[in-house]
Amino acid sequence: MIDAYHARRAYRRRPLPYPRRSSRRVRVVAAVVGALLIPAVAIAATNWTVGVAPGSNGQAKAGTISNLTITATASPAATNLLYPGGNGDVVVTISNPNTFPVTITGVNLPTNTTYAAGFSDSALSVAQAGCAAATPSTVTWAFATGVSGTSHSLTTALTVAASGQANNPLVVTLTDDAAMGSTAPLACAATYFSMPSLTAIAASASSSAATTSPATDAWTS
Amino acid sequence: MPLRRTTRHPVRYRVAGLVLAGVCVGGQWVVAGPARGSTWVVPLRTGSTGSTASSAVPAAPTATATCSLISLQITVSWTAVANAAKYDVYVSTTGAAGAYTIAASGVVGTTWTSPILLLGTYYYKVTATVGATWTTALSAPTAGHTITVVLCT
Repeated sequence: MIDAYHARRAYRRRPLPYPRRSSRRVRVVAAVVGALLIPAVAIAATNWTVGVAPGSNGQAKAGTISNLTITATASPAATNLLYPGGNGDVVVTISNPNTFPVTITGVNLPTNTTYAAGFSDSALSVAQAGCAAATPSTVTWAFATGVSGTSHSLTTALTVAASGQANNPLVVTLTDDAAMGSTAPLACAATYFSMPSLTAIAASASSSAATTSPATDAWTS
Repeated sequence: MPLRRTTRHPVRYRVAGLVLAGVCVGGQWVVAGPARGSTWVVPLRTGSTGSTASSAVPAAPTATATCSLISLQITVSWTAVANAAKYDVYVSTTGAAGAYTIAASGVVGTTWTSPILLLGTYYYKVTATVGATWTTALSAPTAGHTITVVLCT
């Protein structure tokens, strides 16, 4: 004879005819944790660092490819020079302060109405009258579109050595990756240009051998 | 998501193409990024730029003019200018140093033949235009050619 207590236990232990669903409490907790995690990860994506909100059963450490810098450089001089309706080379210097090599596979460009500023000297220190970005100079990144942030793959991936290693910084000539509009002002002849800022790069931590500086590369679409 | 302190859980999130990789260690989620092989889209600071340069306005072309003896037309030829999109031809009937007026504009190529000319002596100069706005200086004048009744000399 089964008493009432054992009858209830036997009822609770019987196999369920369908998969057991999560309790309301579990689902509520999962929703709250998810709501905390998603914005944190999104913020991380835009600020290079990865963070998780407190109270999400863990604590994040920053994981970054930090502080890569891309700057204009006067040497080596561009081989292919701009002219109205034509393209020219861009020379950049990429510095990697990280303790690991970084491989760059692509760039994100500003819009095709973000123009370079003209200078009369290769040090880009003396503005060229009549050839400012706002004139406009009509000099843009090649293959830029009306949308900011479009991504463009490099023909060859570039690996910048770790901080303190040879070939860091890396000087790269980007062949024909600047474009000058056909209506460029005459004042923009024989002028040096500081290109508009790139918006982002596609990069990864790498164990590849560093690219030898100076290098040549390009995006072609 | 309760975490077990004794196990490592590989974690990988993909947000708008960005892969964040990490592990759960000792009850903490440690993001190990950037994971090797994972490509990050890394925003850059304003001023992440490069340098480029433009050419000078090209030198003027060198023009010459010819005509056959029994012709009433003059053909003007000139040297090609790098990246020139078009050429303009100017004419003077008041001497090499006289006033020049446009004879032909937007010529593609390096030769141009005049229409049948009236009596007189003709001098020509040529300019090249790169793109829409960079126009070279005028060339030196061609030698003069004189149209008589039926001859060009």
